[in-house]
Amino acid sequence: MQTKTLRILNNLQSDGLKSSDGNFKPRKKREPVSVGRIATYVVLGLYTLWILAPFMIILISSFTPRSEFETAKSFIWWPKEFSLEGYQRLFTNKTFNVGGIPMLLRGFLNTMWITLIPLASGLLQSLLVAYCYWQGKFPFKNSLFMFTVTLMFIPLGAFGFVGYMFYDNLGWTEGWQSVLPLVVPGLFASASTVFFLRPYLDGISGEIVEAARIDGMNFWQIFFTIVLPLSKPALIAQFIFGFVGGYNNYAGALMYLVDEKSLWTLQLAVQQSVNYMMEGDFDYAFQCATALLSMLPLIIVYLICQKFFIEGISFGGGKE
Amino acid sequence: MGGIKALEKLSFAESVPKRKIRWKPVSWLCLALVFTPIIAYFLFNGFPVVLSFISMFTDMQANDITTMEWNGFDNFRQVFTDPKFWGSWKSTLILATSQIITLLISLVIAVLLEQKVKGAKILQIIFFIPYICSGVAVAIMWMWVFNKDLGILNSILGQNIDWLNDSDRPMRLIVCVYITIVWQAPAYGIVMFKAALKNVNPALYEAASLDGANAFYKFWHITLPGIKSVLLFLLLASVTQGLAVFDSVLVLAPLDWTQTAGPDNVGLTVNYYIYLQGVYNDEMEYAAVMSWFLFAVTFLISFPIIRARNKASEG
Repeated sequence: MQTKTLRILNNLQSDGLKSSDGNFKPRKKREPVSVGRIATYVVLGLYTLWILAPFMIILISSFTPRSEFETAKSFIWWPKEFSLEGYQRLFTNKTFNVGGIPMLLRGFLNTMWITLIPLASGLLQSLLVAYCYWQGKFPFKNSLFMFTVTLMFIPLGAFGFVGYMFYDNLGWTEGWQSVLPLVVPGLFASASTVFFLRPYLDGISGEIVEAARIDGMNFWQIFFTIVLPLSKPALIAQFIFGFVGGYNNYAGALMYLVDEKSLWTLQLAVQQSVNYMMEGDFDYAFQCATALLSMLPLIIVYLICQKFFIEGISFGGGKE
Repeated sequence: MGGIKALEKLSFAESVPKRKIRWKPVSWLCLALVFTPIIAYFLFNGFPVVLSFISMFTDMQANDITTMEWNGFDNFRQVFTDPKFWGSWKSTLILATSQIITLLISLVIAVLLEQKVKGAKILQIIFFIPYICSGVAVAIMWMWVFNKDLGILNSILGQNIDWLNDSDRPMRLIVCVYITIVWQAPAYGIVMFKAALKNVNPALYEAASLDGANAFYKFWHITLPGIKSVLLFLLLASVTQGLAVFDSVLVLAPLDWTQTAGPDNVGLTVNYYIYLQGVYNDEMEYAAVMSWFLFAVTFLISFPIIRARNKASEG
């Protein structure tokens, strides 16, 4: 049973594999060195330095002990002694501690669930809606799709802050509810994601769904066993795009969560702790360590699967 | 890439063979499901915006809509005679010009990366890193670079310049925010341009070379038309982004107790002021006027670009 479906599924997947590694290029002979080529390398080298230098600077400063900062007259290029003080204060300071958990760690965990729950739910629902548009037969299909797409194209970027009044009147800005404005809207299918998943599904042959139907699969079985696995690349792209945005979301957290210390997200925790530290004693190692540690998780994930990131951003990025 | 292509295609008139609609339960389920994004949109995007529109003509106590009282165009009069509002526009517009530099840098770097450079792949990975870094962390990083006493910049210059808080030279703060943006923003453009450049037909370059065309001619007549749609898309995105500066100014110019952002309030961008009035001070009716004004300006600047894009996709 269901053999035809499986066969087509296998064919589709192996086709995908074949096309991805078919770009071998013959090695070219060495080109003569010209002024243009040297200039190209110089410019690219300088740009690399420009991008990496700030990271190097905060990396060195984050290991510089406080005692050296206190006596220094200018920037410390290389500390006499490397110390972990800055990082230690991050984890031991009482002010940056909520319920026994260091604030930065707490912020990281909060960011994770505040980002991942709506992202997973929204993506799954968007795929479901795209699947309905792809295979479903219902009245006003094209007009409804047109309408959804039109909504997506209305640029609401300028209204980032006006939602506060709406949620304030719902009572969603106090206590634990203040996390709701950041989570609830994302739980549902979004017009833009549907718009980007549909062409992807349209590119898949409808033959496979027909075959599955003949095999006796129902609406949900087809969705979970065929549509979901087949649209993995598109989903990964959308996921990365959403995850980077959620991980770095600062304005939303500042608007709703600033009074609820236990719900602070990573970006809010970072900004608040650095601003707090800057008011009192100038703890530069702490400042640099905070910035570095907050960026590190995403940078590591990015370096491991950078191919997905770059493809995902250029694919999912078109929707803004 | 796929996104861009899909945007360009956007053909709704599919040639689906007309079949009789079968009224099965699944059809009803589908019909219900496709309404979810529409309902969610109206609930969480449409309704708040409509509410903000109404609030512009009213006066409220602490953003409570039950205390709304009609007051005509009072909020408009207040906003448009507020020097802080126009000051925030001045700062925002100056900072928005960084987007042009950003586009130029991304185009140049993307073109250079396409010149069969050794290690181009690794370079692209490095150049993309700023995109995944948060605005907050990047601003903190640069705050340390610009530090008055111990920052690396002053050490190199051999000066003791107060970059972030010099009341005699407030524009220095703008320079810092500017650099922060220009460091971070090209990452996205490089990836987008590079993807577009890959799609330009190499045969065109070879033909032009045979005709004896120089590099500039090739760039102007082959490269530029080939990446036109991506260029317009990035231009459109940069208008919105350029006018929405927020994260970096909040870190580099934190509010002091008089609610001043940076020396002479130069750090106060439009979005910063909207946040300050609407959220921080609970005066959303005031912030709504500013938001709608920002929307109008964004739309006016974007409109010619949208038209150019439609033209490009037709031709």
